[in-house]
Formats: sequence, structure tokens, C-alpha cells
Amino acid sequence: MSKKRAQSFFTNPIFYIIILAIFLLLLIIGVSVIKKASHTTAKAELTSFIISLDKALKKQSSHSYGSKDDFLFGLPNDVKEVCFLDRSSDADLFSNNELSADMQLYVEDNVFFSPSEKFSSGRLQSFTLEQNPLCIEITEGKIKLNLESLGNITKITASPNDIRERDCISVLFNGDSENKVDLVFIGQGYKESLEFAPVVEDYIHTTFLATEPMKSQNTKFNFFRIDDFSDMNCRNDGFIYCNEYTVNQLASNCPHDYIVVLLKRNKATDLISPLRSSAYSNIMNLNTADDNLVLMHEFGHVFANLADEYTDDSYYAGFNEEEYPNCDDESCREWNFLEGVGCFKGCSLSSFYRATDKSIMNNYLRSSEYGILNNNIFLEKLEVYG
Amino acid sequence: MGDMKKLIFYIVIFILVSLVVNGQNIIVLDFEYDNGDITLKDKIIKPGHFPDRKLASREGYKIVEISDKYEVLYSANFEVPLTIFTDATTEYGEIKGNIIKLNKTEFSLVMPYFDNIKEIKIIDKNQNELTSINLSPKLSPSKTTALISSLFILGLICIIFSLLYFKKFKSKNK
Repeated sequence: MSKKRAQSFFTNPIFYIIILAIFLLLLIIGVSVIKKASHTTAKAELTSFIISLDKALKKQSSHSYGSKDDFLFGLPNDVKEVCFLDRSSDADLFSNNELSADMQLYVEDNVFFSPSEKFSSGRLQSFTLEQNPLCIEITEGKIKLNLESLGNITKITASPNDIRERDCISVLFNGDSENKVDLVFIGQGYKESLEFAPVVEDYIHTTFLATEPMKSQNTKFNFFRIDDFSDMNCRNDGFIYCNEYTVNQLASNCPHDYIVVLLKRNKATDLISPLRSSAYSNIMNLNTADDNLVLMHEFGHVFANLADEYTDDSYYAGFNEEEYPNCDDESCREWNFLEGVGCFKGCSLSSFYRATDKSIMNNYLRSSEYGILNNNIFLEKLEVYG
Repeated sequence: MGDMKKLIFYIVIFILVSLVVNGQNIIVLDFEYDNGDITLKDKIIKPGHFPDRKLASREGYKIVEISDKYEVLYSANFEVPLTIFTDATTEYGEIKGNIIKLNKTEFSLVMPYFDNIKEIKIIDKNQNELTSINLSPKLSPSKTTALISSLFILGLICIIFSLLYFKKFKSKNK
């Protein structure tokens, strides 16, 4: 009887309609989640552009009168035009109805993006223009501006659109490179900047600047990107190893205290043939199939000289805890004067101890925090930067 | 003759503009480390940026750039990257990894380049000189560009003057 009931259930068209409805619902949810995520990335990218340009205007105005510099900035791929408006002088708005309407609607703003229904306008510190308003058409999400110091104000002019692949793109510029920690992102396996730019934005905004203490120290970092995806002699030795000479030649097009090489890899390939991310010198080679927090783990190695806080049976037996500030013997005397820390067994080798049970240096899949001791180590190192 | 003076004036301005030196040049060095020995493999001079090395360990090696007048132009501390950290997540949500210790590796340094640089020295932590690289007086990219543009302009001037002379000669003959 029950078998018959089951048979009739599966032959009932309502069953297939329900299945189809569930499938469609999941599809709609999936698409909307992806759309929302890409919208968030674009919003973050636009905010980065406004912050970076604002800082660049300030930096340039502090230079001697008449000094000129070209700046290349990244923008969301969908931005078609950027218009700058000097509100302190007369503007010819008759030629641009969209800008004219936006200007009256957002009275405080002086930088406008097209399509305006998709991207909200922003406010920069005062600047001057040769032609008011100055509207620049955008191609491939990049804008090159020439900034000229006129004493206490900076003049913006459009730079010739001769952008080369090796050019340095300011993703988030917070000030003079001499006083900032400069990170440059380079890609391997990418075909075009439209594909690479959102990935870099994601690493910067949803990972790097979302993690303490970088979150509260965010103005101490500059982020750059180079859209040249030519071969950098990266080897697969079970881990990623890119030739430092080749990487340095490319990275030196940007200010680069630290270099992030993003190796594009899909999760399916990585499941079949796992590949480790790696860190040495000032280079972090990241497998993009891994969790984004691997960036913070590798940054802990290269910036703060932190050791791995997990244990692995195959770990290097000659590991010396004295070379690293976050591993100690069972006394934990290196940090036991700090409040809120512990003494947990296992720090690279099971014979050493760590201050935090779960942290980014222990397992970045289970914790998105460095822990008190590591935070302090970072803050101490960041003190040398303004 | 007034036209001639104008022409000479513009040419002189053009030469001066073309001789303006480009932005900061850097030198990217490629070294080989083998059990304590450091040898230079390759080098390139190009416009660009170099890292500030504010957090470099003072216990490691030191690289010094020396001018033709034996002045220190630049110096920085560095460590040979003999440790590679490798990390990956497993399907069980664990992190697996290792440290790879090397006694032989290739490494690279990026430093500012100076037109009057004569020598680069690498000194170990005991102040022993490990390597000395004599930089032959090769022209830097800025100098090369300036020289090429100067020769080009000189050629251009010769052609213009020949044309003017030819024109004058022709009109005189008429």
C-alpha cells in the first residue's frame, strides 16, 4: 500500500512543480547574493577612490608650487564617467543634464559618477580645475589624473589615457609612501583587470581592513595593484614559489614594502591537487582557492615575524621558538604579564606553547582574530609608520 | 635674421626640456646564496620604487652603496630568505603547513640607484665584507635617454641649418 502511495507521489506533476519552484527559488537567491556581493565590492572600490584621491590632493598641495604628478586610480568597472566640479567658481553645466540635476540634489558633493543611479556622488577637499566641470570618460575601471600643486590648493587635469599594463594603480592611498606600509597586489592566472580588480578589492576591504589591528590602524596602509599578468616564474612545489627577482622587477613599479601575489585557482582543482600558500622575504604567494584570511596569516609571518601556532606532525624539527615572539616554552614567560592571555600547548611543534587558543596564526578557518599578544606585536611594529 | 634667432631660441629650450632627468631610478639585484657565500647573478636598472625596510632586522646582513668619491650613498639591513612558510587548509577544517629551511637559494634586493654609484658591498653581521660588486660606469637609463635625445636634437639642428643655408643660397643665386 505504502509502495503504491510512494509511486503515485513521484508520478504526481505537483511533485515536479515543487522541485522546479525550489530550484528557481535557490537560483534567484543565489543570483541576488552574488549581485549584492558585487555591489558591496563596487561600493568599497568607489569609497577607496574618493579616499585615495582626497589624500593625493592633500599630498600634492604640500609640494612646492607648480610640481606635477600623474596618479592612476582604480574604479568599479561599471563606472562610465567621472565628473569633478569646482563649486567655488562658475561651471558650464548646460552640456551635461545628468550632472546638472545631481549637482542641485547633492549640494555638498563635488565628484559625480555616471550612471548616477548606480553610484552615489562624493565629496573631496577643495580643488581647482582648468575646465569646470571636468568630465572624464572611464575605460576598464581606471582613471589617470594629473595633479598640480598651486600652493594651498591642487589643480586636477585629465592625463593622457596612455595606461600601460605595468602601471601602478592606487587602490587605496592614505598618504606619502615613506610613512605608510605599502602593499602591492600582483596576479597570476588572470586574463584582464576587470577580473583581477574585484578580487583585490575583496582581499583589502573584507579581509585586511576588517581584521584588527589593521582595522583601527587603516590609515597606515597604502594599497596598489598592477594589472600585468605575465609569467612570474611561479613554481608548484606543493607550495607556491615565485622567483623573487621577477616579482621584484614588476612590483617595483609601485611603492612596495610587501608584495601579495594572487595565484588564481578554483576550489575543485585545489581539492584534487592541494597547493599551499607561502611567505618568504616580503612576498606572500596566495592560493585564491583558500580562505581569504590566509592573507592575514601570511602577513603575520612577513610583517610581524609570527610563527605558525598550529602543530603539524611533519613540521620542521629544527624549529627554534626563540626566533619568534609568539611561541615559548611551558613557562610562557614571554607574555604571561599580559592580561587576557593563556598558555596553550602547541606552537609549530607540540613541545611549544602559544598565548591564544584559536587565532589567525593557529587556524584562520576558525578565528578571524590574531589574539591579544599578536595584536600587541603588530601595534608595536606599526608605531614606526605615521 | 630675426627668424633665425627665434629658431635658435626654441631649439635651445627644446634641448633643455629634453635633458630633464626622469624620476627615481632603482637597481634590482639578483643574488645567489650558497652556504654563506653570496654572488651576484643579475641586475637591472629601471625607474621605480624601493621598499623602506623600516622593520628590517639589524642582526642580519648589510648592503651598502658607495659613490665614486667613496661616500656611502645608501645602506640597508636585510636577511637572506632561508625560511619559507607554507600553509594550506584541509578538507577537515584544519591548517597544515611547514617551515622549509634552505641553505642555498636565490634572492633579490631593490635599492635606489645613483648616477655616481661605484660599488655595492655586502657585509655580514661580524662586519666582514662578503661581496663587492663593481658597477662599471654604464649609463643609467636617464643618462642614456638624455644622450639619445641630445644626439637626435643635434642631428635635427644640423638638418634645419643645412635647409636654411640651402634656402638662403638659392635665394641669393636668384
